[in-house]
Order: sequence, then structure tokens, then C-alpha cells
Amino acid sequence: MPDIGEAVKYHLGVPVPLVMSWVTVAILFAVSFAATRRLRVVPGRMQAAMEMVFGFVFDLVDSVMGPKGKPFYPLFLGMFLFIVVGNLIGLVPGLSSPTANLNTTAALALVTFSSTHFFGIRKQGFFKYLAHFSAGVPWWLKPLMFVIEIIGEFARPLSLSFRLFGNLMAKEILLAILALLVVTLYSAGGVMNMTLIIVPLALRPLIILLGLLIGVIQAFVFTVLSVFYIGSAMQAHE
Amino acid sequence: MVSIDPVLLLVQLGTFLVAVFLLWRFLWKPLAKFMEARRYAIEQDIESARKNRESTEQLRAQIDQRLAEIDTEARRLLQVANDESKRTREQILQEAQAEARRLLDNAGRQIAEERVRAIRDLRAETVALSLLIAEKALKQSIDAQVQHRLVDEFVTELKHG
Repeated sequence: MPDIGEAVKYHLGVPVPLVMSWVTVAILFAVSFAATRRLRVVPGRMQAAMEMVFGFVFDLVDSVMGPKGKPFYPLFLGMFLFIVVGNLIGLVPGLSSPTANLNTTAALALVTFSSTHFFGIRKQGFFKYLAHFSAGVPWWLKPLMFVIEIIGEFARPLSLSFRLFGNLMAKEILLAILALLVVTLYSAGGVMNMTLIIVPLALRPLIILLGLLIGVIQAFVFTVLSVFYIGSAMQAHE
Repeated sequence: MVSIDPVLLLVQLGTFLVAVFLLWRFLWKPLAKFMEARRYAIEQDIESARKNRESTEQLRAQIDQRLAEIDTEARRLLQVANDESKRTREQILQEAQAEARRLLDNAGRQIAEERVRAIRDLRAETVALSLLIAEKALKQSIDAQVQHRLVDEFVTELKHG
């Protein structure tokens, strides 16, 4: 199966993860258009599925941030849907997950990181926001706590991006290895190799199913943590 | 593979932000508003149904109270009517008894008057008959025995007459 991303890269010089991001965005546009083309009070299947995702994300944001979370609906909805679709298109032959590239996950984590501190500072003021990093400890512990908290703050986007990237990359590598194994064993020939081909052939569908599960779970984890980070930055010391 | 390309990272960031903006602006926002409007309409319907139920219950309580008042009033009026009818019956009975007594008295008085008048008439008749007898006796010159017999006959006639 030729890799579409590699083909675009070869002909246009556009990096594969970026092409896959565009594919992800195109799928999101297509699905969203199909779901919202004719809005009905009693929704059809597409509209109902879309409403379910909307309701899930909105409820999540409301439960963590309360009514103040409403302006963040687009961000978290976009984040969740982009990651879900980006994760799942890697299971389609010929496509790969944009989220299996660190630049994509780092860009998403950067959105969360910058939003956390931007809205935290806007809500509380610069100095008050800085002060909250060392709040609740004796004065002599404040400098140490401040440094630890700042390191923790920078660790958040790292963990966000590496978690998503690592899971998706592992799935992609595993699927690629299994495919390569099939090709290699088939090329080598012989009774033993032909018998062993059964193992990667049987494992690949299972890994794809696992990838389906991981794709949704990782999108959920990324979104929940982002909601929590931004929500807690805005609610600190209220 | 595990390396950061700042240009690619920024382009990915831009792609994500522009995509989210456009998706929200043109496709997701209408659906979100539609869901919100539907949720609001359902909440309004529930609220309206709750208010209707409350007003119905209030109305029912008022009707029950009014019915209870009407029942009490009806019982009171019935009692008054009963009392009135008893009183009227007693009055009519008393009047009837008084009338009966009056009629009886009148009848007794009339009987007595009639009796007195009959006795007076009888006396007058007796006197007239006596005079007639005396006249006859004188005319026929009858003896004492005849006179006695005549008087006895006369008295006997009076008794039987």
C-alpha cells in the first residue's frame, strides 16, 4: 500500500505529519458539514453522534470549570475531535496519525500550556498568579516550592505531548513491524516462514483494535488534563 | 523521529488553531446554539409544566375549600329549614288545637243556648197546653178523676213527645 503522506512529501515537499493534519482537518470539516447540514429537533444519526461528542466535551468543561468554561468550548471540542480523528486515521491503510509526530503533539501541548498561563494571568493578575505557585507553605519554603512548581508547570506540556506521541508512535511502529514481518517472511519463503506468517497476520488486527481503543482514550486523557490545567489556573485562590 | 522542528511545530499549531476557528465559526457553533436552544426550550417546557401543575393544584385547593364552604352552608341552611319547619308545624298544630277548642266551646255554648231555648219553648208550650186543658175541663165540667187522668195523659205525652 503506497503511503499517501510520503507521496505528497515526495511531490510537494510537504512534511507527512502536516499532510496528515490537513487530512484530519478535512475529515473533520466533511463530517461536521454532514452532521450539521440540516439541524433537526429530533436528530439523525450523524447529528446525534455529533451532539453526543459535543455534550460529552461540554459536560466535561462545565464539571471542571463551571459556567466560566463556556468560552473554552471551541478549544476543547477542537482538541478532542482533532486528536481522536488524528489518532484513528493512522489505522487506515495508506494514512498515518499526525499525532504520532512529536511536533503535532507538542503544538497541541503548547496550546494548553500557553492557554493555561495566559488565562491564569488574565484572571488573577501577573503577580498574584506567580504567587499562587508558592501559596500555602511557610515563607522559608516559598522559593523552593516556587522553583519546584515552575518545573512542574513545564513538565506538564512535556508529559502531555510525549504521552500522546509515545502511545501513537508505539502503535504505528508495532503495525509497521508486523507488516514488515509479513513481507520479510513471505519473501524468505520456506515452510517454517510461511507458517510463522500466521503470527503477525493474526496480531495485526488485534493491534488495530487496540489502536482504536488507545486513540480514543488518549484523546480523552489529553482533553481532560488540558481542561483541568486551564481550569485550575483560572480557579486558583478564588 | 523524536525531534522538534520549530517551523513544522508552528505550522501544525497554526493549522490546528485556524481549523478550530473555522470549524467552530461555520459548523460547530450553529449546532452548539441549536443544542442550547433546544435545552432551553425543554427547560422552559418543564418549568411551564411545573407552573401549570402548581396553579392547577392551587385551583383545586380553592375549589375544595369552596366546596367545603358550600357544604357547610348547605348543612346550615338545611338545619335552619328543619328548625323552621318544626316551628311552623308546632305553630300550626297549636293554632289547630286552639281552633278546635274554640269550635268545641262554640258548639257547647250553642247547645246550651239551644237547650235553654227548648226548655223555655217547652214551658211556654206547657203553659199553653195547661191553659188549653183548663179550658177544656171547664168546658166539659169533668170531675177530679177525669182531671187527674187528663193531666197524667198530658204528662205521659210530654215524656214520650
